[in-house]
Amino acid sequence: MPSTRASVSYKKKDGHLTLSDDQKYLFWTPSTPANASPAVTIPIAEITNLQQTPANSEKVALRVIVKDENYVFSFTSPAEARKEQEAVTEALRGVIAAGKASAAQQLKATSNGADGGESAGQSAAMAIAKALSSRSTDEAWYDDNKLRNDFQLQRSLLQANKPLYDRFNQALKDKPESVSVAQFTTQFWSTRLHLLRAHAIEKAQKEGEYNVLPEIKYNTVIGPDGEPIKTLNMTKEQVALIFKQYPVVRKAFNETVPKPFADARRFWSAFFASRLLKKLKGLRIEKNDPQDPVLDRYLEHEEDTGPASIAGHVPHIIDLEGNEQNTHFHLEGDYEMRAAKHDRPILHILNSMSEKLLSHVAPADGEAHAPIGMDEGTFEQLRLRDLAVQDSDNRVVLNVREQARYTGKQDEDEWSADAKLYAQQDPEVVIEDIRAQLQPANDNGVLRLDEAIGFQSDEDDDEEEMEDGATTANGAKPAQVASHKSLDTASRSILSSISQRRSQTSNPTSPESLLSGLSQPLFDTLTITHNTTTEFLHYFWTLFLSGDSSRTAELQQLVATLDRSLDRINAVAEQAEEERKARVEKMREYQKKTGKRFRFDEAGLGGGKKVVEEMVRPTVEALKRAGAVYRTAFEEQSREAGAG
Amino acid sequence: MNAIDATDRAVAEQDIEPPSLLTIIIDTNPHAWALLDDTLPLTKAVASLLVFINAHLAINYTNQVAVIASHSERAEWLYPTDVHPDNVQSNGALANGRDYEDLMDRGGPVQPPDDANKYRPFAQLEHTLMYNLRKMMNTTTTDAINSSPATMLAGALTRALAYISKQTASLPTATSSTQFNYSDPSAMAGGNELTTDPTKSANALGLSSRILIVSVSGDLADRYIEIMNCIFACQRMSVPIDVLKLAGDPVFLQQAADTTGGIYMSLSTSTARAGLLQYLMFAYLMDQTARNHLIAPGEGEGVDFRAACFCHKRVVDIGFVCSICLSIFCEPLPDGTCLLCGSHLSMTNYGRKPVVVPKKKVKKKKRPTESGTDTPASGAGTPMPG
Ligand SMILES: [Zn+2]
Ligand SMILES: [Zn+2]
Repeated sequence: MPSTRASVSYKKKDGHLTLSDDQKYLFWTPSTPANASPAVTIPIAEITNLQQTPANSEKVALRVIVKDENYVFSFTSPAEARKEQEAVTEALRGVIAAGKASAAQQLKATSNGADGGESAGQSAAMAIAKALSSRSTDEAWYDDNKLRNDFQLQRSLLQANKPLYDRFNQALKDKPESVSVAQFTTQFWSTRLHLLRAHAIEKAQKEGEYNVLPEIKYNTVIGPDGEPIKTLNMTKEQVALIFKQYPVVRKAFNETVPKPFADARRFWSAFFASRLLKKLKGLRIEKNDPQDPVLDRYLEHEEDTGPASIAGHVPHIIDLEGNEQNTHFHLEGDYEMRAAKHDRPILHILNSMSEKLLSHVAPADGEAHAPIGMDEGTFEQLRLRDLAVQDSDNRVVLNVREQARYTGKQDEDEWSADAKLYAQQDPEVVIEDIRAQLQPANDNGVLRLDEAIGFQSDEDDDEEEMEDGATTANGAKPAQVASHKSLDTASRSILSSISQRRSQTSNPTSPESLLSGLSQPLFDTLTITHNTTTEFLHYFWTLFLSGDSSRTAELQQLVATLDRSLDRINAVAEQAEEERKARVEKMREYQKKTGKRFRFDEAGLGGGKKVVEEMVRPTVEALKRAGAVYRTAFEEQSREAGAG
Repeated sequence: MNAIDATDRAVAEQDIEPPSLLTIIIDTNPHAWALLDDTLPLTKAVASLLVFINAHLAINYTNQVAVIASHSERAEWLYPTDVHPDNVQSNGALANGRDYEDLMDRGGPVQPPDDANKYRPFAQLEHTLMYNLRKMMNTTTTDAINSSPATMLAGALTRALAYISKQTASLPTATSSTQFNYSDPSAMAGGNELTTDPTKSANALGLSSRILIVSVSGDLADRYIEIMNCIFACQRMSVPIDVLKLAGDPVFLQQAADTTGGIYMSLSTSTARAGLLQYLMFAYLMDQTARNHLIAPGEGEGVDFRAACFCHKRVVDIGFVCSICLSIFCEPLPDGTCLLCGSHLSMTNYGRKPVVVPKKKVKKKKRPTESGTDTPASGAGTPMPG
């Protein structure tokens, strides 16, 4: 095509710049010799920056920066230098911008997906670096919209979480008809994004490597001739893992198949009977273990110690060997710590196995391209902090701001009931009365506590006491403080509260006490009814407080649903009452049949409407509250609409 | 195995009852007590408390007590109080003339009069407490009690907590010299000195502390944050807050007892209030050690878990919570910025003025752009489980 072609000099040699047809490369071809192949090839995707001489400058040049290198092309065309330079620059910009846009596309254009449309002034390499380093899947976990719309994920979560599944289904069944399924599910998940996020992260986790050799075992099957046949089942993945974890096996495999072992099957059956396997597993090699001339050669093979990715940059602070070199004392510690014991094969094998497994796992807490060795941050993490004298205080100070703007409830409407009562009293009188009361009763200032509390040690005259006691405004005699009667009343009330508590806590492990006499199925029904009701309450408040005038019909339907929730609760209560009646009836019959005259405690039986109502009282109150709030708003706005 | 090791001894020590510190906070709001005057005057309530305190001190000779008044506009120590050696002459009279007169008017100096009928530590405590209560009431102005219907409970709780920490850190041990000295007339039960010696080692037995709030007034919402902080501090220190509610709105105090594992009882009728002494002795006397083995009394009904908003101190049952610092607000924040932590909170279209009646003739659209943003109308791919 070459629509973009410009005469330039590069390193003082004349030539011309062209864009490749696929717009991926920028070529500079020297003019001499004719038909020379391009001497400079620049992949456009790698261009990090373009610089040009100012428009009014006499010299027209373009600097193309690719990573650390840069190329300066001076435009030489006597008449059209500036024009040509602009054309080349425009073309390059266009290509870079397009490349960036598609890179951004690959990023799934998450929250800041607008990048692609930005001016081409930003370097293409930026976008590419982003595409490489950013973990696009990670970021998706934090994007609420993606979670909200990921139906696969939602379904998977519902399948994994039974209670949630039940709740979802029940609420879906009871939802008002005017609310579409889509509206309902959006609402349902909007309050559960955290669950979705956790589920997404959970699903994204992969199981790490495991030590593969012990996992492969013989299956023994009795063959048709009655002889046991040992079979070995290995998957392709297991073979790959063996090669990865035990390079010596790969080496042996490479060198022995197809000669002397004809195929892989023979190799493996020899291997799993060999001394080499025992050595790799860290087992003791017995004298009478069968020898294998081919595989036994590899017994002496020394494996490379440790994978390269760990060895070399273990921070000194946790590197035992480093400590040994860098300190002048020797640890004569535990069995495993003594150098002399280090030739125990099992220790070596366990250690090197662990190292290998670890080395195959990309560290989750560090960037792969982070500098090797210990930086300041790592050191801070590894430092033995508990030995430090004082940890710096790193609490977050919260300040209650703008409190003053609101305090001072001078408005009488906001006064509490108590405050209103206090306001009716004369403070002078109040304080004088109290002062007078506190005067010592007798001259020496000694309180006779028995008198002061008004306790009468004699059993008698409660009535007499009452006679001269003042009467209250409504004519009833006030209870005498610390009289026998009032103390008795107090004892009884405390005892009854204790026995009530006891019945609640006496047998916390037995399911009956938790159900308060309800049957398990009934209790489950009640639970699901409660859950569904809560779901609709959430929905109601979200919608009610959204101030969205286009959804008033939906809201109205929802209020009707809340009313039906009340009916559903009442239905459960009636059911419980039936259940209780049946149980009482059974007891009576039993009493009649046996003729035994025992008193069964009808109150202690539990269950029934009362228990249900007690259990769901807060829910019912919340329903009533929601309905009342709605109706108030409805009346108010209907009136306004009528007036306006 | 070596049979003689340290664990045996430790087990043996468990048999001794650990000392128990009872900190009583009396709500002395004069207005509230005036309303109760017919059924339970302040003096009778205080007398009942004194009997209760004496019982507490009599149970274990290492037991301690502290009494704080939560007054209208301030919190004040009733017992123990600082004894200023400068003010007390060796003969028991005060050097300060004004105080001396003040005391003479009211029946004597700080030292209790001799009374053969009374155990001296009890007399000492009773005298100090009554003296301080009288002094506090005498210095209370009418302005002070009219300024607020509330009581300084947060201040009193803070003082109680500070005292408990101090006592726990420098605990008079059972073997130390701080136990009551019967021959010393100035010695007081549980030690009346606020000053404690920090060099004393902490007792191996540990001090078990509890707080009893005798409350007569409500309106605690103004100091909601402070009160809740105190409650959570008590929870962390394993200090139960017992609450005996004689009048007023129970909100927050019920939570205090529930959170800290204390006992909550409300004496709402005059008959119940007349039995105050029995309630104290029966329900509140046992310390934590005993409570482990007993079923505590208390209200069977649910706890009022409502909170007060941080912006207006209104008690709310439906409110808005900052997702960052969990502060509570009664209405949506004007600029979406949390008043406490300053985080910018995006409310989307939540918390608007409800619109429940469809507008038939839309004269002016209120928010034309925001309709339905919360619920995309796409019906595609709805996850129907199963
Ligand atoms: Zn508020
Ligand atoms: Zn906040």
